[in-house]
Amino acid sequence: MQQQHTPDFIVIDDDFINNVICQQVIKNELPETKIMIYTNSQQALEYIDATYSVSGANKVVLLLDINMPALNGWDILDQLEDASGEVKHYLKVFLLSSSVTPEDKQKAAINHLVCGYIEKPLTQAKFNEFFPDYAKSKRCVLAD
Amino acid sequence: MVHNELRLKQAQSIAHYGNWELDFSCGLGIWSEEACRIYGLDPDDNIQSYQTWVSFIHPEDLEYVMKITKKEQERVSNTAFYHRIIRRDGAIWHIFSQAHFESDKEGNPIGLYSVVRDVTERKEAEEALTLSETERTKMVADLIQRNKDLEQFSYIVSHNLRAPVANILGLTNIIETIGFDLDEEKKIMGYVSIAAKSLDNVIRDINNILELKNNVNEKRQSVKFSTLLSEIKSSIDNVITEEQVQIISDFSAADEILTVKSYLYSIFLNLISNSIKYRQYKIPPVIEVTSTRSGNKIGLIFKDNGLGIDMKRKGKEVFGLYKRFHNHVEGKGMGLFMVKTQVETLGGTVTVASEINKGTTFTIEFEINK
Repeated sequence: MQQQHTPDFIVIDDDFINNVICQQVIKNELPETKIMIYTNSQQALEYIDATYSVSGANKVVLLLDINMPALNGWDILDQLEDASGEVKHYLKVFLLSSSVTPEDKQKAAINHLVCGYIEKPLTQAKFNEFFPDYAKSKRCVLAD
Repeated sequence: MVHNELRLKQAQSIAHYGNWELDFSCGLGIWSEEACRIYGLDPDDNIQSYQTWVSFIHPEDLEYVMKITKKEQERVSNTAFYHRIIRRDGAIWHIFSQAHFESDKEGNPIGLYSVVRDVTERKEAEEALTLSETERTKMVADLIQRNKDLEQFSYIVSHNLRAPVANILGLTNIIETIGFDLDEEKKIMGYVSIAAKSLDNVIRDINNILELKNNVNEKRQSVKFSTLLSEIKSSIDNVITEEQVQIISDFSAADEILTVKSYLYSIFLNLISNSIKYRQYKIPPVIEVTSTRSGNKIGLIFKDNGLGIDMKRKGKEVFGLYKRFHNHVEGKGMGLFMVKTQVETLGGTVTVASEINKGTTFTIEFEINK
């Protein structure tokens, strides 16, 4: 891997307990993996913009909460859609939400940046279900 | 024969049908008992002229009735029409008249036979229905909106109940599946407790909201805007000094309203504290509170020079429960939801206009009963 510094996972959620859970579940499956956690969605977006507008980064899984103050999950997706160059090609976005509104699930289904919709909480079982390639290899390589 | 006449009278009375005849040669006619009752005449006063019949017709219907009868008289045919009468006692009744002209061998009209029916009840019911058509449309629209609000409310509530529940499930799940040492486990138990508390908070919030909606019957009293504002100013005096807040008020248009004081207090406090909380970084907050008066409406305008809200993106969510538009300060996302709920509970409306880095204006309107 050329650029070890770019993360394999980015978790964006204003709920810090959820972030603890994500970190524990992912680390338990993939001890060597690099996870970045953002409780402030604006800062997360700035990081993504800066990191992935230049080529050569690893592909990254984005675990994105929907309901957040200021920039919510949908706003982030809109901004990623408009982002310059290749940014969105580095991202595999999974919504991670406790939302039960059918509207959110429908919106997720038709958004082509969204690879999946994970209902909170993230557990080992769900991790293996949504990221089978990771689970099998126990390595930080994303299938293209 | 007598028996038949009695039966006819009873039938007429039950059906609210009366009849009268007119003999063109003498210009007089006999009115049945029920006809007399319909027009408010004494049953003995049953010999009436054509002019009497005309005199009962409501002035607004006269032209139209005359036109019809004249036309039908020329054609010597049957006719039927609705019109209003002003009875002897001054009451306005609705009548359905059916008239039949009688003619001689040469075809000249010699008399008129007419059946009149009192249809006042039906007409009034119809009118009541048509009069309230716009009101009904509005009511239906209101109900649909309320229903949508409630649906939205229950989604938001279940979402916000689910979030801490998901956290508790997630935390207990990792304790079960991942081995931790004691210190680590203690830390996670601490998170469980935080999640349980936030679950409790959501339930308390719901309770407060429901209580708010149920307490509409709290006594209304006369409240002075100027007094209310000074009370609020002194309660947040330290913040005002610290943040150099300038509150300008003008209640010259209206300074008093009959309302539930605790609600209005909370509306003022929420809007003013929001203006301070979401102020622009380098400009001291300026809040203008103005009252307006037009017709039977009293308005309150709260205008600030704060951060503003992106109306294009977030316009629909401004008053939503647990909706937040800035994350640099703590907040629950309850304030504006409470403002809207309280304003609406008081029978008013609240709207918002906002521009990023310019400021936000909330306009509240209450209808006052004369």
